Amino acid sequence: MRVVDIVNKENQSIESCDQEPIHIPGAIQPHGFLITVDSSPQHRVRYCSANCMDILNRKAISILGKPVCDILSADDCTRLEYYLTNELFDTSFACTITGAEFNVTAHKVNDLYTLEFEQYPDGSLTVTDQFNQTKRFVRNIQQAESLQEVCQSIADETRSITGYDRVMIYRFDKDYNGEVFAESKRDDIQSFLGHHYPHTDIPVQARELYLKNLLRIIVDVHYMPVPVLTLDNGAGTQQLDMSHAILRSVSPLHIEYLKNMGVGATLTISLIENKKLWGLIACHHYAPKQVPFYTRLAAQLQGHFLTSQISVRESAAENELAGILDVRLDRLLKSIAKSDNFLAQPDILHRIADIPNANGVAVIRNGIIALSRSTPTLEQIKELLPWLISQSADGSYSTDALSQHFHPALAYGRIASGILYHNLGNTDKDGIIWFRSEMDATINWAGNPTKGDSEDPGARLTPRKSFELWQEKVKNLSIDWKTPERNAAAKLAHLLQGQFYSMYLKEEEKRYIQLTNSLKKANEELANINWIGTHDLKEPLRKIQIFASRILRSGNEASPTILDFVGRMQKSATRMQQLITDLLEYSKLNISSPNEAFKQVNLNDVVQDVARQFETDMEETKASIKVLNLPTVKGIPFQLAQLFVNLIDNSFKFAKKDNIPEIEIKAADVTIENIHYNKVTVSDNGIGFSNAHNEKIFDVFQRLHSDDFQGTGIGLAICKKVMENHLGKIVAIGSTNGATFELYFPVIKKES
Amino acid sequence: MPAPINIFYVDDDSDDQMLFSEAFQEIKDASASALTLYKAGNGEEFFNLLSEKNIIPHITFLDINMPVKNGFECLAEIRASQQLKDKPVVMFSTSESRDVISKSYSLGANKYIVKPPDFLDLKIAIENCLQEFESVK
Repeated sequence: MRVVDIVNKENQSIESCDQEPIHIPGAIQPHGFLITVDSSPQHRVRYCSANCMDILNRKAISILGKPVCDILSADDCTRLEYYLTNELFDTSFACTITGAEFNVTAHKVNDLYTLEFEQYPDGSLTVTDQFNQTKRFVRNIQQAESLQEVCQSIADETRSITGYDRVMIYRFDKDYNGEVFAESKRDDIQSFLGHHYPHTDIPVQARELYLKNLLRIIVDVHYMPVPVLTLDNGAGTQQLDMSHAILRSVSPLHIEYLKNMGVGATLTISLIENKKLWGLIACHHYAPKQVPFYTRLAAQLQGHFLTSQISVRESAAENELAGILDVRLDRLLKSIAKSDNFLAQPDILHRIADIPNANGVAVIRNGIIALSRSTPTLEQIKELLPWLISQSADGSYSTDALSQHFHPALAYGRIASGILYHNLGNTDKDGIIWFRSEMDATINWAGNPTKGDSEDPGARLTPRKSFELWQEKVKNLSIDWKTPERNAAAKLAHLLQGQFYSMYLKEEEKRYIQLTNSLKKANEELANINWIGTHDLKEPLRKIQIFASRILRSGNEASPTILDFVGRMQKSATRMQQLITDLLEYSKLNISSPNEAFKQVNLNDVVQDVARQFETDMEETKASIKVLNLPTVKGIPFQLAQLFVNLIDNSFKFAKKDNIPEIEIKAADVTIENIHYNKVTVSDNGIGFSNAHNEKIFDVFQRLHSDDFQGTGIGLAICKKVMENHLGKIVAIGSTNGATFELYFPVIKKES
Repeated sequence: MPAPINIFYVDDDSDDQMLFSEAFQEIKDASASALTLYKAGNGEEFFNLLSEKNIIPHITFLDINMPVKNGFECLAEIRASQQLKDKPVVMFSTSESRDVISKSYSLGANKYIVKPPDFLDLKIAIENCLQEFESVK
């Protein structure tokens, strides 16, 4: 069988990090050697790194495929058996090969055990060391007031344990853009504290690897990768998953980046919070540096210490922020309560913007927009608002990347990349929008690596390029809204909604008072019209009529034409007078008079009295009025008489020319929507009307028929008014065979 | 010679005074009674006229809306007067208001006539009153 290497050739040529299969490089770093054995009882060697041949002084062909014990001493073999059987992968064991001491660690992937041999045995971690380390950590976290301080002490402690030139605590945002959050370093090197890096610096497959393998080391960035060998079994090369291998050869792109920074060796520890990569402990050394297994464990312990604190400290920080915002909100609300119209007060608006730490705010009330501090223009907000409303099914919307969802916002991304919107009651007209500027505009510029540092400008991968890329990545993005900020905003929005509502009520009250006043005035004027109607309008009309009658009586003196004209004039004046009389009757119905108290009124009596007024008409036309047992209702007798006068009058006026008018008045008890009514129906056999007009017919001066029929168009308006005064209603039903009017008198239960 | 019957018409409106006079003249011309019409422009003039002529009216027609002393005041004064309290008074007004009509009766008016818009009706209304209160034919 042939020995082949499994070096992943693709890794050398790729330009972009995101496609690089970094877990299967097929090569290792040269500071140790690797043997992968199968899970058969003999543990035959499946893979070995090429440097095994030198160290073990054997040809690959005499290592690959052989039981592992062929290459180990009997003692070491026994130890290995025990180690593998009990899967003691968290520890290491020492072994001596051709006189040199090696520290061995192992891990298992897919029924394969990978054994990694590192020179540099370092004895062991004592219980005392661990205890002291833990004690120092506990002391540090007790003293630390913030997460930042915890990170600082972890960085310091890690550097003192490992001896790296620089130890950074690197924190990711939700998109995995990174920031140097704490740093411990040699005094003579430049600080990276506050530097920002784009998420592309640590591509997605690297992050996945970091979740599996919590500690990575590069001993010397200038190393020559050592290929991993295997036997060609004819079925193609089988890659070895080296995700967990400490010796794993790393990405050439990553090496280039480190070289450009002048870094010689690194150690990286994953900080995992809630199954998510929260950050890294990144150790840099400016010369090659090997860290022994137990030192690495101690460093990793620091990582565990830190992650144990993240959620506690973050929620403490959130609580603290929430407390600060609560105080701020409380003070603001007191100012708002004191103010009549807080929207007109710039200082209050200014403070409203501060509630969720926004850079600007727009408060919209009744469609009027009040702006404070850094905001888009009014026109831009007017364009944005309907979109926000459409996005906020639950009444609110927030984003830290507005232009990604709403493209017009690209024009003002610097001012408003972050949006926090709350609807305040009336969806279209009341709302509040907080704006947050682009992140780049708000971050700590101390972290700009373009300042001071002297990098090779031709280098492909450098922190400066990273920073530029980061700026590109966070363009049109704001810092995310923190939970306490969102909560404070929601709380204020809720209270503003209440405030708006009470403002609305106050305005309504004002409007109501104004309306009442104008109604009073209108009523006074109406009473005046009553007076004018009686004495200033009717008087001259009566004169016209009576003088006309005088001319007509002395007929011989005037020509027939003049007499005709005077006759017409008299007729018009008569009609005018009738109009005024009816209008007065109608207007009087609006004025409630204490004399018109409600009484129990027997409608049979009312109709009988009214019918008497029509005796002449009935004799002339032989008309009949049939009255069928009407109820007693609670009402104003005079108005009820007016009601029936007008209805009966209506029937006479609109009788069919050749018909004998028949009017029928009958009653029934009905219940509509749980209200009991005495229903009285007045129907005739007249010309009727089109049912399309059954509402219009009750309007003042509304006449549906030509001049051939008499009537002023007020009678039915009076009927409607009377029914309204009686809390009832009137319904007109028209047909070509006559008109029907239904009167509904509500039955008011007697108080017991 | 029949005894004179003195009719008083109190109204500030000159048109109405004229029409009333014409209607009265037509009635008088057709009647055998010795009818005399006295006219006054308001309540005060009415009382002045009474004392000036020293006569007692047989029937008084009173408009209501008048300056200085209106029809109601005048009517109240008539009913309060020892000499005049039993004399018939006919209220003669444009108003058709129930309030005005009932107030007139409660103050002691014998009759209430709404000024008619037709001359013939006016004449008939006056004739009816003369007949009713003085049996004039």
